[in-house]
Amino acid sequence: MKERIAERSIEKPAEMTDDALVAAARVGDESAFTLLFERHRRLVSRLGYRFFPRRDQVEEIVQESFIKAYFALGDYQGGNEKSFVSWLARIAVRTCYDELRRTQRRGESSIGDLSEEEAAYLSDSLRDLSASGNVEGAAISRDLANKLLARLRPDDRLILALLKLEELSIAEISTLTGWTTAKVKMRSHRAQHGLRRLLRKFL
Amino acid sequence: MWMKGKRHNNELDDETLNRFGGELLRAFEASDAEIDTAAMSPFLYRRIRVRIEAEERRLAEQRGAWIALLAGVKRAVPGAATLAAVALALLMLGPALSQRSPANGVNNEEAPTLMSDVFSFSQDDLIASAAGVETPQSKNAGGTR
Repeated sequence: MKERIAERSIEKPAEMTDDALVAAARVGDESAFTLLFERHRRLVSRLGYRFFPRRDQVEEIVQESFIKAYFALGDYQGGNEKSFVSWLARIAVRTCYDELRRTQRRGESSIGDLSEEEAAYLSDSLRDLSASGNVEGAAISRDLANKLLARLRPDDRLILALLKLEELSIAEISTLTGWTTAKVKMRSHRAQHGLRRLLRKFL
Repeated sequence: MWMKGKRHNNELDDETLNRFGGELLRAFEASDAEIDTAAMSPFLYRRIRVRIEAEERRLAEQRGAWIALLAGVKRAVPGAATLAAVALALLMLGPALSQRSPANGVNNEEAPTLMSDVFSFSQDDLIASAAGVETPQSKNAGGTR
């Protein structure tokens, strides 16, 4: 075992593949896990920002995802070049989903958070849009978007973000979430319907 | 005709709303700079390591508690088994021993009771004593006071 670690240490860590780093981390090579973190922290951070607006929330997602990954290294089965990225993304997406559900259970965001001005602005924007059809020009603040999106069910929000922002296919979302493709299709349909219904309230 | 027109309007509305929903999602998107700032947070990895170590300690303690419990059980098992064996042996051999005792020629007479004359009241004596009538035996009993 020690010989194998020694062999790996001869190889430059930066040149090692993710699978090799995982194998090294599994046998207790702390620097291998550090390197995996260095390589992929941006990916997890980006995924975190798909669902949460604040930096502290995203940092928490990054921490939680890498801790889960560390303790699940034994379950990782590599194989192809992108395996580790997909595996880590799956952990990060599930962490985000769990946190979204926790946030909603705690009732941290509600329609009550939407100020009268914001509701009026949204209503005017939507009326203008329905008249002109110029959607792309809409100036929606991030805060307003967050308040509105927080009204969606966590699974609807997850699907919409993966579908519209990550631009993933149904099959890719299915792999990432562990849901069947039929379930993803059904949920994506329901999520878009849910978003339209939410926006109609302001028309 | 009216229905057809209304449905067409709804379809248009749906399309507009879908596009607006897309804009809403994009408005929520973070910039590259924000993503980098969160990813490059200076103590992020240190915090992860601390939490991993704390979790490993907790798991080790949990394992230790189980091992201690199992060791306790392991120590207690022989003692408990010996006690159970002795109890079982007594239970099995008890009747056999008590049956064997008279055959061994041990005196089967009742053991003499001390002061049997003093406490050997008959039912008549008790009734008589309650009624305040003196009998010859109650006289003896009273003599011990």
